Amino acid sequence: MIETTFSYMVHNELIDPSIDVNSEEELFEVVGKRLLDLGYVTDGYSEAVNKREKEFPTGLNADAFTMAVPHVDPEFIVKPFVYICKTKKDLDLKQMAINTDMKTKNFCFLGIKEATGQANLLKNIIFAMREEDFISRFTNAKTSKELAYVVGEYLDKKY
Amino acid sequence: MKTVLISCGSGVASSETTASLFNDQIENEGLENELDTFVCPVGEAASVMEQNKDIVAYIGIETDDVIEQAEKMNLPHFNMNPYLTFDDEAQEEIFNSIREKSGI
Repeated sequence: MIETTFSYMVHNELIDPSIDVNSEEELFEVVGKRLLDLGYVTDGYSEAVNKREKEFPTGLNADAFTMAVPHVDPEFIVKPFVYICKTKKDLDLKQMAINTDMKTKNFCFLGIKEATGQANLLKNIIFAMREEDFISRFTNAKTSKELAYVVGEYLDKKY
Repeated sequence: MKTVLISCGSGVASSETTASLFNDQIENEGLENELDTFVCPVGEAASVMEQNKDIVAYIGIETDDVIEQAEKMNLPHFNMNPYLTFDDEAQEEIFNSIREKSGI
């Protein structure tokens, strides 16, 4: 079944509006440990996402907004999730498919368990990044609840 | 049926997204009976191109292996970036180019 709504993948325990790290690698360690402790991923997830990001970066760079969507093969995912976070500092990373340098503070880690069924998940995120309302609310969000509302709402939009 | 091969790192997120958007283009032009898409991880793409004679074009991450195989088979190949960066104009150019080169 091709899914069209994904807000079920947003959980309050998987949102952090202000993480203090200095690099993507550090962020992957912090987020990976939380996901492992909460039972969403298997051991090896942090290493896998770090390795994958080096080979196939996940930065998305629109004119008005940037975001990274780190993800790995489904074998490391126990339960589907979207881990939403904003870092205090801009982190250096590379843009998806063309490997150019970019920076962002906005991250949605995608815990995709079933590729075909959840095919529209990234599509919905990409389309959300075009919306002024999403950009404004995500950028200005200071609390987990605000991030949960805006991401959940846009993950369920029909495009 | 003529098929466009679409690949990313693991064939999970960005290639499925690109395929979904490309399928929308197919549907908008009423070409569902003439053109479809196939998604796979980029590590398998060169092999798929070689074995599947229905492949008429490639959209995805352009590794050396992929470019080499595509050019060997005279298949048009495109980076998937326009499908990830809202570049509607470039998406349309890719679609029209594929359509023209595959005779649809």
